[in-house]
Amino acid sequence: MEFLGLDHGFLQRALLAVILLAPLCALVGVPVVNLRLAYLTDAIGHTALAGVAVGLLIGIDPRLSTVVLSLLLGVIILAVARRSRLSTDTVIGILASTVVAGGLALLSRERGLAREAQRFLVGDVLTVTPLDLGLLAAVAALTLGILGWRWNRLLALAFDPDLAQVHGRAGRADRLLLGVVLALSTALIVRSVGVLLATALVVIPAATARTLSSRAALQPWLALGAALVAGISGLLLSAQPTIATASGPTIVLMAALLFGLATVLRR
Amino acid sequence: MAAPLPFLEAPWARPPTVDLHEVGAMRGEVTVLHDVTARIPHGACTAIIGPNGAGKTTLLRCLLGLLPHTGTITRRFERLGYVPQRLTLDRSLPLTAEEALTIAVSDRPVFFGLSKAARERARALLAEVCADHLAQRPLGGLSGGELQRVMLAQALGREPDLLVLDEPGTGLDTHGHRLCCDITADARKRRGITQVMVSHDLDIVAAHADHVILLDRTVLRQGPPSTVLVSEVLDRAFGRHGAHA
Repeated sequence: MEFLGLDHGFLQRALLAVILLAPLCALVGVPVVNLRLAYLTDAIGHTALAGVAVGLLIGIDPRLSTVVLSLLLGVIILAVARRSRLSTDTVIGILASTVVAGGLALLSRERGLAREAQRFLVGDVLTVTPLDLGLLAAVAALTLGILGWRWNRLLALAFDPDLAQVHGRAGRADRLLLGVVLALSTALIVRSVGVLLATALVVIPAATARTLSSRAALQPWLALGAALVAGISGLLLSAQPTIATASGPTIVLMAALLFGLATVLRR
Repeated sequence: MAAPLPFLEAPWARPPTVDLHEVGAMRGEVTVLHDVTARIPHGACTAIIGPNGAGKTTLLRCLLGLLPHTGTITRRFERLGYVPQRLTLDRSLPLTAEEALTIAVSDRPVFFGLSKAARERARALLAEVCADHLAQRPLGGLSGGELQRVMLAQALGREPDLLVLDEPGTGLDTHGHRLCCDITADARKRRGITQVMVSHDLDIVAAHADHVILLDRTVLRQGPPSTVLVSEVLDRAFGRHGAHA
């Protein structure tokens, strides 16, 4: 049986993308899972669809429009949830659906755009360009720097938000900062695995780590390990002629397999 | 003759650590507190008691700055240590006792490991609450009493002037509750801390409090336990089974 290695340029670029994505997803994912923000992450991921539509329509880079729209949505969700009598997940459900519907309405008007947007819907790590890699490296470095700076405070916030606020360790500003980091990272993750699966790449490795770890010190390292193993194995498997599946879904399936193994091991 | 130590002075000899003046709070359209005027004497242990729905925790949250309120709260302290009800903590979070104590004060990311100084500090604080053996244990595996002591160590680690405890006895047996109160009383005396606790256990309040605020949406009575914990007052506030309201 033939095994396709890393002697192809596109695979080498894809591997580099996965190696940059893994720490990004792992370190964003840990506070997302600890603070129970998986649904917000999903909403921001889906907003990318509208971001792409707006970008294509007004002729700017869809990555930029995605980041701007995701940031806007995150801020609006936080502001509305504070003032509304509805629970945060209901507010997220309403606002995210509205934004996605807006994006779909825009795309349905322009048939040419719909084909272009399809690329972002499913994503493809095999088609990343050197510019994508540069952006990914810059955003990963920025995100990891910000998260490292506030890591303990986000952990304190997850443990007990009131306690963190009373002791002056963390508060609303930290949630907002995490929202900004989430929006930035999601815009790039979407480029590689698509709108539909971006959340999975953020949440599953971090959830695997949380399942296995009983120490805060270990959780991000285990999440990184899970993201790297899933990313590299999923990429290589998807590139094999006998398997020939899309890379994004294969990576997510490998991540889910690791999560399943972790759950069984924990028992 | 040497001046008496601050904790040996009468609690009423210095200005109160907290002054509440005509404090009110709403939950939606419902008035939870109205016209609450009370004081938390300096260096003393103040207990806030009252029947269910009296607004005890609401008053505590106003004092902590977690809830908006009307009226004025004058705070004469610099550092605050807070022990929340254990029910609000996320105990499924992967976090050991020494990590919990370290993230409360340090910004060095915990994933780089704890420094030797952080470990020593955590162990010293845990020793103060008779829990140094719990340093490496995940919080999720601790009993209610053990977790309470770790949370107390975290609050004491802030070197507070005011220590606030919300229902410290919830879910603890009498022995666990008494141990927690003894440790708190000991720390209060050694460090000269002012303490406020919301409690539903009147036996514990009688044994440990210097000042009691009886609340039922407003202050029904306040003063030393001997003037508040009397049957005619408690019967009126709690009904006839007031001893364990």
